[in-house]
Amino acid sequence: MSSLTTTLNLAGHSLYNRRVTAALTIASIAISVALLLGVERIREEARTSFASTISGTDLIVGARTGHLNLLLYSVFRIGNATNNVTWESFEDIRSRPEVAWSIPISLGDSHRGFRVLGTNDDYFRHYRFSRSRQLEFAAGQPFDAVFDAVLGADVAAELGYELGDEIIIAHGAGAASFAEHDDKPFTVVGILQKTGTPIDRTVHVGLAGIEAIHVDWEGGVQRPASRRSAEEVLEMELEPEEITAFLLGLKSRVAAFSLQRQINEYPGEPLLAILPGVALQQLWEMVRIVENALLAVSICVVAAGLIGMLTAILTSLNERRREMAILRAVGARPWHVLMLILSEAGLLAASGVLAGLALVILVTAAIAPWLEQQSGVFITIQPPGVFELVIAAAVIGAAVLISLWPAWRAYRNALADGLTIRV
Amino acid sequence: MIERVSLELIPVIVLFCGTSLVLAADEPRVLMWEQMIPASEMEPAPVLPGAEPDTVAPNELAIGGWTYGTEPVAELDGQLVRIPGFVVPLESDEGGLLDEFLLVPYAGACIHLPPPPPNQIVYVTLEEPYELTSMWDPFWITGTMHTEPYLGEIAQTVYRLSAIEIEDYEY
Repeated sequence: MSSLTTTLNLAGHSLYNRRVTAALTIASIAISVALLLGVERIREEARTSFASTISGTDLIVGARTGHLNLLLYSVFRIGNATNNVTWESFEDIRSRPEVAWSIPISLGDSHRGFRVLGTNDDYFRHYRFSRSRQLEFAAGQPFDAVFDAVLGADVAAELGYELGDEIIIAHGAGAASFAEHDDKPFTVVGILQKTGTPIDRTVHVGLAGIEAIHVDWEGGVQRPASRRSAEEVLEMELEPEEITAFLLGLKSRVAAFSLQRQINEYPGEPLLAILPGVALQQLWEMVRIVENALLAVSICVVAAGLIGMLTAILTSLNERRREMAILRAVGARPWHVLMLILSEAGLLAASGVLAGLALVILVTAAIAPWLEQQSGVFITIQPPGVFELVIAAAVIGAAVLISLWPAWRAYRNALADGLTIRV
Repeated sequence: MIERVSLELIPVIVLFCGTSLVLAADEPRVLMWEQMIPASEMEPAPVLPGAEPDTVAPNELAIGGWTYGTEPVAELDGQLVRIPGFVVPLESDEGGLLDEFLLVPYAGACIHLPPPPPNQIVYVTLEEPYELTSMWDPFWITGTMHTEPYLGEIAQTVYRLSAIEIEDYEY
């Protein structure tokens, strides 16, 4: 309709004439829309990211703490265990007939802020993520000798390591440690491909390696009296006595229930067995309240942005009575004036939504690396989807709807004023 | 003229009957959990004079296997059923939506209550992944049931369901 394009054209010029006010209004809508879209995007990505970190594992077993605690420290490297699991309990449970495979893991050391994971070959054989993907090597191979290490993709990239480099493992999980195992350096023999999970930020060594560096340590301190060199240690028996947790794959998924119960009632020591899917679901249900609160706040902020737009249009009405009279004089009907106001509101909202979309993409791209480091949540930059379109339509629709009020006022004024007005 | 009318009506009648037969065949059977226990396990054990009452408590699990609850109802194999239950999530797809789960008769089976026997658990795979909001809400699951024998210590799933629909359970 030519009158629609004319109206839109006129609306555009009209807004440009008041571009400072218009820009501020667009900015307020943009920020509020960006907040809403950002909250929803991060929520989705977090959920996807966590869900794809581990797959195909029937039970995770550790010392008795709590479901979420065990899930977070064993799989996501968030938080810490409070106690260890003896090697005897591990051997006993993994020899049960229901068990198809097992992966022991040992945590507690770090390298320049990246967690060190002690495990064995079964880790590279059986660990699955993102539904059914296996761990693959970008370079090198799994560890073989006692002092071999395999790096996650991000560890190698951020610290610039290559095959053959030597690294020092430190005691504790902080960014720096003043208790280093510097007499027993490890050699990088493998670098994994990027997985988009906390594995990328982990240094993997053999269980024997973990035992080797703690051989002369007691109570978190290296005892000078019992100090052993790297060569001496290689002569020793390096059977692990304790591990932090272990993963189990069973021959039948239904058997998970009864084995879980047996482990929870294990007479040897206090253990806890969890089903990863169930623990993740518990995590979501706890977080859901926070998610809903954030969403409600974001919606209120969008409403505030729209009310700001309404205020701007309403307050400008009085000044624009002469403008409307001029338009009437060149042949505009009163309902053209109504359409003009509505179009202005629509244009403001549409520009705000587009700017908001651009803003959210920029901001998520900017904070993605930081978020990955802090919490293991991997945000991928995705093109706008159904949710974004629905929000855009809703915001623009709401803007046009609420601008009916000033549009009606302008319509009445145009009727009353006619061609002559007294300002 | 009457003959012509009735001749034209015949394909309509056939179509109608055919459709209603098909619809009737597609009507899922509502299944209750007690119906998943075979008759052989419903019989109380005969009490011999002077013998001790059954000392195997329901929660005592023989290591590596169950002493009861291992037989499926064979005639359920291949049937389209609709069964209510609680969801124990197992696997999600890449988008974090639920893909595979275990269906059990009561909530809390995965946490603090004793587990149900194998013929009171259904291993369900969803055609369309679903966003699960609560493990404490019951659902109706519709799909084709498959039964498999439980092979002693190498435990297999007794009941498997390929689900085509999952709906909220209304009281």
